[in-house]
Amino acid sequence: MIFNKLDVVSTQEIERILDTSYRILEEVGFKYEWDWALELLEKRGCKVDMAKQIACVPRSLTLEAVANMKPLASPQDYPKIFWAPWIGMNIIDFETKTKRAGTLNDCRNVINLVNHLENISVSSTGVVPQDVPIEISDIYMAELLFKYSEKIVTTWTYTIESAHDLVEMAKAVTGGEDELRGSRMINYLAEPVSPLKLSKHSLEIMKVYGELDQPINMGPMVQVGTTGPATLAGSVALQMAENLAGLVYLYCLGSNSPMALGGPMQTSDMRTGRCLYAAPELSLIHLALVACAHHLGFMSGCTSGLTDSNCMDFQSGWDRGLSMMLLWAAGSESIGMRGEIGGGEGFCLESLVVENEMGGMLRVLSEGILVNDDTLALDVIEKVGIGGNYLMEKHTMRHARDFWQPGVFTQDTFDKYWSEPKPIEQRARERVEKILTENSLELQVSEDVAAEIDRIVSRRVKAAGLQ
Amino acid sequence: MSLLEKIKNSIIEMEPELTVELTQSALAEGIAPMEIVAGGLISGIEIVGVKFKNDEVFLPEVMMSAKAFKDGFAAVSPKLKDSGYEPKGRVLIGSVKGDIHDIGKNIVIALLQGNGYEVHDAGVDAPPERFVDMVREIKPNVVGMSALLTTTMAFMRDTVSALKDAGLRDSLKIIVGGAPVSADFAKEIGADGYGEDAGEAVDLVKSLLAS
Repeated sequence: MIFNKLDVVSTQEIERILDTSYRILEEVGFKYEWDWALELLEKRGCKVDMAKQIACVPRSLTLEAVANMKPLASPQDYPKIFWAPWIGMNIIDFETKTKRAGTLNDCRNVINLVNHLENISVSSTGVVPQDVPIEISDIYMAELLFKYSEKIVTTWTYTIESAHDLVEMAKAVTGGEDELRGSRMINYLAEPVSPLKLSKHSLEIMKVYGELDQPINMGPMVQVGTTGPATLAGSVALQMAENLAGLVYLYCLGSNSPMALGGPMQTSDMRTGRCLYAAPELSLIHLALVACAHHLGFMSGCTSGLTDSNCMDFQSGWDRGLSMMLLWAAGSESIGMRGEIGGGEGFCLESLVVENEMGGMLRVLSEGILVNDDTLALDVIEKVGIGGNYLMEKHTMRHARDFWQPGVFTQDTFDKYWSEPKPIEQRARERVEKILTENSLELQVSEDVAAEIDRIVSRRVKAAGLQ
Repeated sequence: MSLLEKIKNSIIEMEPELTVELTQSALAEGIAPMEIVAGGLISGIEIVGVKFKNDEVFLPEVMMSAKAFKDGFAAVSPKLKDSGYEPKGRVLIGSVKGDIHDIGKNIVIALLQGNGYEVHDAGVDAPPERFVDMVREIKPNVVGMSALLTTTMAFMRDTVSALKDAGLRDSLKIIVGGAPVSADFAKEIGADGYGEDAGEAVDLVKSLLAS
C-alpha cells in the first residue's frame, strides 16, 4: 500500500513557508493577552512588550518546542480518524426546509446517532443547546457527551470555570487525576484570534488542559483575504505561525499534551467577505497545512467534508467528497464527517448519515490492496482456467463479503429505483429515524459517575445564578 | 472633466490620496463644500454601492472606495460646519463583552462611513456599561453589536437590557450581527434587526432610519 503521495508543495516550499512562520513570530510577534503567559515566555527568551502584550518568539525557541512537544498521532497511525466535530447553532430540518435553534434533545439525538454510525470515530453534540443558558451551554454539552457517548468526544470550553468543571467531570469518568493524565478525554481546540492573538481565556484554558496532558488541537482560523493575506502561501504561513505560537506556549508551560497542528482555515467570498466552507483554494491550503504539520512531525488536524450548499444535492456531495478525498490522498490522519450544511448555517442529521456512508468508502480506500498468495489467487485462476466463472469457488466464498456495501446510497437498477423513487435525503431520514427509534441513549458510565457529573452541572448552574 | 467629476472618479477608482488632493483643490477653487460632498464624494460612493450590490466590485475594493470617501469627507468636513450639512445618521458599533473579534465590526464601520453615516467605534470586548455611557455621550440613532462566539452572544441581550434600564432603548434602533447570530435571535433579545453581512447591515441601517 502506498499512501501520502499527494503533494501540493515541495519540501523546499514547505520549508520556505515555515521559515516565514518563524520570521512572523520572531519579527512581528504574537499577542498573548495574559500577563502571566507573557512573563512565562519572557523567562524563556521571548522579547516581550508588556504594554502591548506582544511576545516576539525567537526561532530557536520555536524549533526547540517543535522538537520536544509530542504529536497526537503520526502519519503511520492508521486507520484514519473520522471526525464529526461540527458544532453549529442550528438544526436543519429538510422535511420542513427550516432551521431552528439547537436544543438538549437535539444534542442527545446527535450523540445517539453517532454511537450507531459505524464509520465515525469521534462524537460531538452537533449543535449548541439553546434551551439552557447559553453562557454555560458548554457544560451541558460535556455532560451529555461524557455520560452517553460510546466514542472519543470533542466539545467546546468557553471559560476557565468551564475548563475546571470539565476536568472534574473527566476525572469522575476516568477515576482520578492520574487516570485522566493518561487518557485522551478532553480534546481541546485552541483557537487563536487571527491575525496573531490568543485571548486570555484561551490561554488559561490551555494551561488547565496542558498541565493535565490532555490533547490540544491548534485551531487558528486565518481567513484568506480578510484576517490573512489574499494569497494562499502567505495565509498558510500566518496560520502555521499561529499554530506554533500555541505550541511554544504549551512547551514553556512544561505540558506533555499531545498536539495536532493545522486548523480550520477559511477562504473568503471576496465579493462579500463571507467565510467559505468549500472551494478549491480551501482544499489547497489544507493540503499545504497537512504537509507543514507532517514536516514538523505532527498530526494534522485540518478541515474537510464541509459544503456551502444548502441542500443534499450534487454540489454538497462534490464539496464534501472532493475535500475529504484530497486530504485522504495527502495522508491526513483525520477526515471530517461534519453534518454541517449551508456554509455553517446548521447541523443536519441526515447529512451526517450520508457522510458516514462516504466515510465507509474512504475506510475501504484506506485499507488499500492487499497483495499476497491468497489475494493474487493464482491457484484459483489456474483451476477455473479459460471461460467458466469464479462464483462457486471456495476462494470466492471466503472473500464474497469483503466488499463495501451501500447503506443509504443506491445500487438499484433504473427501473427498480423509479418504481418507488426515494431521494437520498429521504433514505437518510429513514436511517436516522430507524436508529433513533430503535436505540435509546444508554449511560456509558456508572450511576455514581453520572450522579457526580449531574452534581457538577447543578453546582455550576447555581454558581452562575441561572436556572 | 470637472473637478467634481474627478473626485467622483477617484472614489470609484479607489484612490484615497487622490480624493483628498482633489477635495482640497476644489475647496481652494472656492467650490461650495456641500457641492463637493453631494456632487463629488456622494456621487462616487453611490455608484460604488450599486456596483457592490451587482457583484461588480468586491469587498476589498468597496472598502478602499469607502476609505476614499471617508478621507475626502474628513478633508471637507471642517468647512461644512456652517453649511447645515447633516450625516445620514449616527451609529455606535462594537464587539460585545468577551469578544475580541473585530474584522466583521470593522468592515461594517467602513461601509457605513462610506455611505455617509457618522460612526463611533465602541471597540472590542465592550461591556454593556460602555455602550450605555457612549450612547449617553454620542446620542446615536443606531447601536450595532457584533459577536463571533456563542458564549458572547448572551452579552447582546445584556446590552439591550442595560440600554432599557438606562431609559435609552426607545431613543434608538438596535442591530446585531456575527457568525452565530440569527434573525430569530435578534428578535428574541429585542433587537430591531439582524444583518447577515456588512452590505446587509448598511441596508438595515438605511431602512430602520427611514422608518
